[in-house]
Amino acid sequence: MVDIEMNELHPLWRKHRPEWITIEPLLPDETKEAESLFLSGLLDFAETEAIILAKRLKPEWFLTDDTEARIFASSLGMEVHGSLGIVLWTAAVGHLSYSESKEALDRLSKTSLWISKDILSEAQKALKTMFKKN
Amino acid sequence: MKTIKVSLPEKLEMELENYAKGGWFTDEAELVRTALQEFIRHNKLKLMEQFMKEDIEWALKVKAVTK
Repeated sequence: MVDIEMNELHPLWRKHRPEWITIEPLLPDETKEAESLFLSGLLDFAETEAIILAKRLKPEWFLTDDTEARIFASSLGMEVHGSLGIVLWTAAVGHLSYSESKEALDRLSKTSLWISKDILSEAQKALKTMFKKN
Repeated sequence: MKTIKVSLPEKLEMELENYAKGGWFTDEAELVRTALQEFIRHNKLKLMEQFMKEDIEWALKVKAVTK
């Protein structure tokens, strides 16, 4: 699903796709399980497939901004984070500088992801705390 | 699909049965699924905000241990 969507957004996606991104298809039994879960109406199909796949791959984190998927994946014992968490985590571990993470946060707040003013301000405050010199 | 077993108080159980028998839902499971979906829909923004707060706290904790 990601591959299809990214290919639509960026025509050169397939050619320049980072090597660390691998596409893992569902096994036949997992496809049936995903269809059955999707038909229950709780989740969209992409989220359903991702959760079923994560059950097998047992990743350290399951990443989603979808509320229902986050609830469902958490109920299965997965550690779930969203885009905001990932931006702040990259700052926390030093992959991004203060200005880069501030800019990433700013860009994230302008996407279709809903972030309230309070949360945005809390996230900005967290960045300041992280980069505060002791 | 995940199956959840829940105990219901008698009054709630009767109401559930009445809705199902009355033809409002195909069965009790469908009513429970619908109720959960409605709950999530109504509380979506609140839940999203809560999840984002959890992520902010998580990143701050990571920062604290990587210092």
